[in-house]
Amino acid sequence: MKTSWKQLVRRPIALGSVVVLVVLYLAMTFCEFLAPYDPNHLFQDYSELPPNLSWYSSELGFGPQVQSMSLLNEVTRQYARVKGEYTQVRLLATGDKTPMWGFLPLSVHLFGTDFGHDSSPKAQPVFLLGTDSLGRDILSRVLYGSRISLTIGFVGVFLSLFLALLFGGLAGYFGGVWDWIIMRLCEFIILIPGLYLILFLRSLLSDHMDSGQSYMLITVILSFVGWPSTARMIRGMVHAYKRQDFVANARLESMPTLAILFRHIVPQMSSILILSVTLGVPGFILGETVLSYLGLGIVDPAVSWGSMINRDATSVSSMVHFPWLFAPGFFLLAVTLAFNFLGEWLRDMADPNWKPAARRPRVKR
Amino acid sequence: MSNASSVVPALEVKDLRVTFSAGETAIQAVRGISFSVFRGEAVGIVGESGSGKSVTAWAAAGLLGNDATLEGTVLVDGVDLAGLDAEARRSLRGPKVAMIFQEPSRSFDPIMTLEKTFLETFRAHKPQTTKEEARRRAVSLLEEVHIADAEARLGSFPHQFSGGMLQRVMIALSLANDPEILLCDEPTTALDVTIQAQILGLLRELQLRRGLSLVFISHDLETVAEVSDRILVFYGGLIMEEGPKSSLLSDPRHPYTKALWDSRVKRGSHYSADALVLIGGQPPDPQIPEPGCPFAPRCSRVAGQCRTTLPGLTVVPGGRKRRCWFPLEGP
Amino acid sequence: MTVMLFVLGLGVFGLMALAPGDIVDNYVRSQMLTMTDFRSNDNALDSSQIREAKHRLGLDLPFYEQYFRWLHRVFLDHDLGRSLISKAPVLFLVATRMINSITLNLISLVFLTLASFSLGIWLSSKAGTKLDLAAAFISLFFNAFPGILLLLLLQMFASVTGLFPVTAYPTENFDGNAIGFGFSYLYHIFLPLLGAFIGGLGGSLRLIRATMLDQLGQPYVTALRSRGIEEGRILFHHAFRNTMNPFITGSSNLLADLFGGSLILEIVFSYPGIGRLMYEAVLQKDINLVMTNIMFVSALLLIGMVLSDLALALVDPRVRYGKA
Repeated sequence: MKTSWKQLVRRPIALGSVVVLVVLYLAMTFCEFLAPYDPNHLFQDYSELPPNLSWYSSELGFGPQVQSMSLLNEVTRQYARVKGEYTQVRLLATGDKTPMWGFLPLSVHLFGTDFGHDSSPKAQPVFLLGTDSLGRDILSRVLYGSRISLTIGFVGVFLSLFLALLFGGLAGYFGGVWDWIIMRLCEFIILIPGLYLILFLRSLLSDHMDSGQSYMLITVILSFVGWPSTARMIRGMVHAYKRQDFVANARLESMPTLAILFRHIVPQMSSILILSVTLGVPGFILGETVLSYLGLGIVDPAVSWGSMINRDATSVSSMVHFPWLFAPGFFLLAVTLAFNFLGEWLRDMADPNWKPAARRPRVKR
Repeated sequence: MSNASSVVPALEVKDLRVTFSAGETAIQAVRGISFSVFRGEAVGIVGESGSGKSVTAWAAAGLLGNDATLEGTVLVDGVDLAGLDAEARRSLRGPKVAMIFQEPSRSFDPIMTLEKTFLETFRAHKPQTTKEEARRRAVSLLEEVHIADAEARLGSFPHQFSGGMLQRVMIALSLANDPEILLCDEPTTALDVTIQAQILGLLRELQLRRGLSLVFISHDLETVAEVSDRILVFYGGLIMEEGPKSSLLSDPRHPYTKALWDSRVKRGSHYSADALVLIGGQPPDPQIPEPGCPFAPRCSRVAGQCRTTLPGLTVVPGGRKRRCWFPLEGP
Repeated sequence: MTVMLFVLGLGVFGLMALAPGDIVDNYVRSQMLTMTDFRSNDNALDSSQIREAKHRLGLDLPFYEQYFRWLHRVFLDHDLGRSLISKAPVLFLVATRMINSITLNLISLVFLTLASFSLGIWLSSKAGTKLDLAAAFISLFFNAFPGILLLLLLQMFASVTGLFPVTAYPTENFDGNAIGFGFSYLYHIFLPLLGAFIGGLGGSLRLIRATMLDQLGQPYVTALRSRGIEEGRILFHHAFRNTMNPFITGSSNLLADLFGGSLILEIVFSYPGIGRLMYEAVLQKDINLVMTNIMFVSALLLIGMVLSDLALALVDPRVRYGKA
């Protein structure tokens, strides 16, 4: 599969997808800096606030700023804008203390306001995406949550891929009894619809786990459900490749089997594997989101997009009144679409014969 | 030699050019081909892959797709294909022009029995054909192509036949609507040598019996020679040489023709001391056409303007034509 | 097929044996709280009581023995046990919910098949045109669109506009008014069905279109054209019928996908199907129910696979007759 930068630039959708993914993953890496607030910072006076960024006011002119809101109704959480009170939004503002990657001390963020500084008592915090029912900044939560949601995808996919390569490769290479056993195993796992199997496995495990354990657990469960289909495909390919000369040569040199598998056969399949990974990641991300949405994955206060949807977006009435709570859903959509479009483009590159817009002989003129 | 009797050729191609567009690239597969096939005549077309021989045949049958742009004229029995709409062209395929193809085992709908396939073929042009009539005619066609037990085999599926038998069936199907012209695009290339000989014999027999105008395409000159009265040599989308079979082979004027004939595998060569004569180099890439004669990079006689200027097709006595700056002069 | 189910059951029980200890303990504890002779004044249960309860429930036996006892109970005594929480017989729960889910998924399957067949054929006849490219993009988009998001959005739409109900179970009663029930049912499942349809159509359509295009590029199509067979006949009678084999093979999991997708659907829209039953069972740690659910769903899918094998033989004579 020969891909080149030029070819990527030619296809705007694929290029857009790569850009979106790069931006999101970078944002995830530097979320401590990019997010204005700590995700667990409770702004008690500002719960269920809509996004409050505005760009113009007569007081401060053009520029990002926040208008003060005051609470009208405790029950319906209706807010009213306070005339004439604006806070400027600054770049590189000092805010919550959030150690970068857990250990580098950091309290400067990409943007913020003077809220909380004693020098500006009337300053308001800026919530680009509003707040949730506990008064936590949605944008910050989405950014921190992306750490779990986005990485589970990759960790899961690689674990699944490893298992698939191991089992599929051994099955294809050795054939015979091992092949039969492993294939039957795969068929069993594939037989049960994914979500049911995931729920079942989840039910076997205890309810009370901290977020680190949950993370590992979800990854393991998702990988367990995901590896068989890839394994079958790999096994077929290994079956075909092992008859080729370069494998016979390696055998003659007394290379150990696993080495043959991983150093010779696997590189042959690299384009298919890359494709499999690209198209698999969104599935895993979705899997975690669904699990968390069902309350069986990451739970509050640990943040992931799924847990945010679970917390805020399950009640239809709250969705209707506070639609910004659905923000993690849109991020999820962006990531899923981006991976799928990218995978589609990679598939086009790998196998031009597969092109959907294929030539077809037809009477001309 | 040729039984050409009527003035209007069965098939006439005038300055045909075919360009395929794939995205931004345009490939000119056929660069100006002109020839005629008279009634009852067997014309052979020989050339390497990419020489434009198949594309010419497909153009003659009106089978090219939307990505192909045709210039020039194709006349079937005097009628210009360009002036016909899609439906009119469709009605020509079968009753006037028929075609057989290279891979018989892939040229059948796998889920239809022979009987149904024949019925469909008849009904495509005579919708009122009854099943009994179709059976009768199918059996007689299958017998014509020497398929034993024809009646019983009508109920079989394509995957139950061997390649050679399927080719016979394909020939039978192509004759179902009594065409005047039969185009054969490498029909024996995918078959065993012994079967090849049988099919070639069959084609010759059918051509003579039915008075067909046969166009036989192959990359193998010997095969072409067995079936044809007259031979056209294609290279790089152009005709390099044309002439009656015997004089073309005994006295080739174009270096390519001579090289082709010399490079054939002769009987007994397995045990002989003679080395295989090969034509060095690669066939031209249609995406990067040579400015001069397409054969120049591989020609042993290349000189002077060969590389810069394309020679024209010159008519030579004896019904011969050749396109070369430095042709071989015969005895 | 029965062998597979049998081994599957063994696997399920085996997995349960692998479960970390406190699950079983919790289960036993909750069981014990409902069993009268274990009630004690302070509700504290010591380990010997737990051990005795385990023994009573047969939970201290190796898993294969437990499995055989279960099988014995199921097939000979026709007793699938009771749900831990609702105390209702498992069979009743599973059967009713199963029927609901099957109905929903069958309707979904029918619409999906019809739509993807007709659209797929039509689009393949327009291959390479702008319309075709747009359709390819749209199908990719909807295929990639997370199902759960789509369902949530639809639900929001229902709530905001009030055009459709937010939950999926009809309000009419079946006994009183069958037709009214029918209409109410359709009205209520319309939105969730739409969600499942849009999500599934993308994938199906792409498969059919790709297979059709593949067929149309085959030599036999050219041969047919060369004999003057009409394009329409080639499209429907030849290309499409040959698409059936790869389609059936490629989507033998279609039913499985639908069931998996309907799980979320049932939860979001509160539809009383087997998916939601499974979810509730898992939430409440109702082991009996969970296990039976899994077995039933798997059995159903195995049946689906057998059916699709049959369909394959029907559709493709090569499968019927084999090579000569």
